[in-house]
Amino acid sequence: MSRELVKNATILCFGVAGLAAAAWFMTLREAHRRLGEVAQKLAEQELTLASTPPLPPDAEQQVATLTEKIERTSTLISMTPATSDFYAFLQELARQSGLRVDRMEPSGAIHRNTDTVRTSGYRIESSGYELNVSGSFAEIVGFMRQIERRIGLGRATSFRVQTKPASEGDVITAEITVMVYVPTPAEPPQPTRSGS
Amino acid sequence: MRPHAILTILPSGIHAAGATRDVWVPLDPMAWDATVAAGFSPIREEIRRAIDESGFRGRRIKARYFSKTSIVELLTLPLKPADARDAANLRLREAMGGANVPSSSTMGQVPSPGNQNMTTLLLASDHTETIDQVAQVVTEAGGNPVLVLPVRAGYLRSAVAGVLACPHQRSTAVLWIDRHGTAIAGGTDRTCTFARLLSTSLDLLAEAIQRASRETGEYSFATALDRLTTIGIPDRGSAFDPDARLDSDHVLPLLQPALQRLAIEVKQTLRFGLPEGEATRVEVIVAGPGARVPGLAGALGAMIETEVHPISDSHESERLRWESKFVLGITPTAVETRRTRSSLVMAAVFGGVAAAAAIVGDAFWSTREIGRMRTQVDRNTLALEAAERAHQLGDRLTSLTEQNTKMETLLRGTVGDQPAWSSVLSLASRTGIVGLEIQEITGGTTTEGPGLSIRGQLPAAERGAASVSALVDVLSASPIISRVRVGSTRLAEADGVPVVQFTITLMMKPLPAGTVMRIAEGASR
Repeated sequence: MSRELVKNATILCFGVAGLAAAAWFMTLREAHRRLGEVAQKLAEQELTLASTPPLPPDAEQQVATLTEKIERTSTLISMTPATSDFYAFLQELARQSGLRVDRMEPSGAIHRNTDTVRTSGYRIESSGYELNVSGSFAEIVGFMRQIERRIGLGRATSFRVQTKPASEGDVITAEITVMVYVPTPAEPPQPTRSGS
Repeated sequence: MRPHAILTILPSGIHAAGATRDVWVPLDPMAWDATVAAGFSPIREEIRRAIDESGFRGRRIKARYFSKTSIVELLTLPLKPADARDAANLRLREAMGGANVPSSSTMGQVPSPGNQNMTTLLLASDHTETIDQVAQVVTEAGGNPVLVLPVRAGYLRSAVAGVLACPHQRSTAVLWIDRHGTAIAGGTDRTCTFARLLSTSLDLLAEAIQRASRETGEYSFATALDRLTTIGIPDRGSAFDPDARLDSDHVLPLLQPALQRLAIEVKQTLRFGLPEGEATRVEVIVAGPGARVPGLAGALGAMIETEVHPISDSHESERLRWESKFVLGITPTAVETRRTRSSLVMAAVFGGVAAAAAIVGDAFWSTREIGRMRTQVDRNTLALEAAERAHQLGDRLTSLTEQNTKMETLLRGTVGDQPAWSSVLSLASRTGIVGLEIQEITGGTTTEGPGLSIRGQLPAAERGAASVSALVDVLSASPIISRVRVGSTRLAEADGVPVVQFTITLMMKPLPAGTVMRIAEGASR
C-alpha cells in the first residue's frame, strides 16, 4: 500500500506541479515579460540620468552672455570692409567727415599673428593705409570716431594731429595709419593622400 | 469528536454497545460457518438492524468479530520496541501461512515499567480478506467501520489491562469472561507476564442452562443468558427458577463440565504462568460480563482452591484507563484506500490552492511592481526631458564657449585692445582751460600700451605753471586715461606774448575690441 501511496503521491505531485506550471505560463508569463520590459526601460532611464553631467546653475546666463559676445564679434566681422574696398571705404569716411585727403598710400599688409589663423579657424587678410588729411579739429575727431565705429576689425594704429600757425589759416592736418583685418573662415584641412 | 461505537459480531448474535443503549440482535450459532464462508453477507440485515436501533448510523464504528482463523497472543521479547515489532510481524506472517496469504495485523505495546530491556506486545492478526469482508458488510449495513479487530484480541487486551490496573503488588490474575471467549492475564506489580485465551465463555454456560431447561419447557438462548446473568451459578440443592420449575439439580450437572473446564484451564495457566509457589497465593479477579454472573467467582474459587472475586468498581475504572492506552485495531483495505485517496485529494486540493495562491500572489506582486515601475518611468520621463534640455543647453554652452574662444582669439590676434582715440582727442579739445593751444597730438601703441603725446602752450600768466597742472588734472579725471605725465615745460614768447610751452604724455586704458564702437553707439542713442 505504501508503494501505491508513493506512486500516487508522485503522480499527484507531478500533476499539480505541471498544472501549476501551465497555469503560471498561461497567466503570468505576459505579466513577467512586461515587468522585464519596464524594468529594463527603468534601468536605461536611471543610467541616462546618472550619466547626465551637472550643469552650472548660471548656464542660461552664460549662454546669453556668450551669445551676446558672439553676436557682437560677428557684427564686427560683418561690417569689416573687404581689403579691395578699403581704399574707397576710407575715402568715403573722410568725405563724410568733411576732411580733405591730401595723401593716401598703402602701408603694406601684415599678418599680426600666424597662431591666430591656426587657433581661431579664420584666415586673415590685412590691409593698411597711411592718410594725410586736413580739416578742422572737430572733423578730424569725427573721422577718428568713424574709423573706430565703422571699420569693424580695423583700427587706427597711429596718428599725428598738427595745428598750423594762425597765419596759415585754421586748418589742421593729420597723419593717420589705419589697418583693417578681413577674416574668412579657413578651409578644413584636406586629408593627405597616403601611399604612392 | 464522538467516541467510536463498538459493534461486536458473534456467532450467537450482534452486540451494539452504545453510550446509552445496548442492542443485541440474536443469530443462529449453527449458521456461523456458512455466514463466514459467504463473506458475512447473510447477516447484513441483522447488522443493519443493530446499527439502526443503536443509533450507530453515520458514526465511526470499531467492529469486533469472532474468527477462528485469527491469531491473538501476548509476546514478550528481549528486544527494543522497533526490533520486537519486526520480529512480531515476521512471526505473525509465518503463523498466518506465509507471504502468499495476505494478512493484516495490529499490535500494541504493553507497558512494562519493571523491565526496560524487554518488550511485551499484544498481537492480533487475521486474513485480510476476512477483515475486508467484515468492513464491507458493516459498510453495506449503513455503518462506517474505521477499525476491525478479532473479538478475542479485545478479550485479551481487557484482561491485560486488568493486570496493569491492579492496585496492589501481589501476584494477580485477571480472568476476563465474555460472551464468546475468555482471556486470562497475570503478573505482579503492574507487569503482565502471561496472557492466553481460554475456550470457556458465557455463551457456553448459557447453552448449558438452555439444555437443562429442555425437560421443563425449553428456554430460548436469550432467556438462558438472562437467567445466567440474573440468577447465576446456583448452590447445590437450591431452586434455580421456580417459575420454570427448574432447580440446581437440573442445572448444575450441565454447568459443571463447562465450569470444570474453565477451572482446569485457569489452574494450568497459573501453574505455568506464575513462579513456583505463587500459583496458590495468587489473587484471581473475574472481570468482564462474567463478573456480573452471581456465584461464578465463588464456584470457580472453590474449584481452583484460590481466592477469586469479581473486579471492584475502582479497579474497573482504572482498567478502562489502561485499556485506552494501547489501541488495537486493523484498518480495512477499503478504509485505508479511502484515506489514501482522501489524503491525495486533500494534497491535490492544498497543492492546487497553494499553487493558485502563489500565482495570484505573483500576479498581484507583478501588477503592483509594474505599476510602481511605470510610475517611476513616468517620473523619470520628466526628469529625462529636463536632462535632455540640460544636455542641449550644455552642448550649446560648449559650442558657444568654443566659438567665443575662437572669436576672442581672432580679436586678440588682429585688432587687440583698442584705445578710444576719438574720445581723448575730443577731451583734449574741450578741457575748458583758457588760452590752451594744442600744437600737436601724436598717438600710437608702444610696449607699455596705447599712449598719446600732446604738445602745446599756455599763456604764461602768474599761474601759468598751475594751468599745466590743471590740464593734467582734467585729463587724469577721464576714465579712459590711466596715467598723465608732464614731459617738459618751457617759457617762451609767442607773438610777443610770454607763454609756457609743454609736452604731456598720457597712457590710455585699452578697451576690448568692439567696446569703443559700443560706447559710441550708446552715446549716439
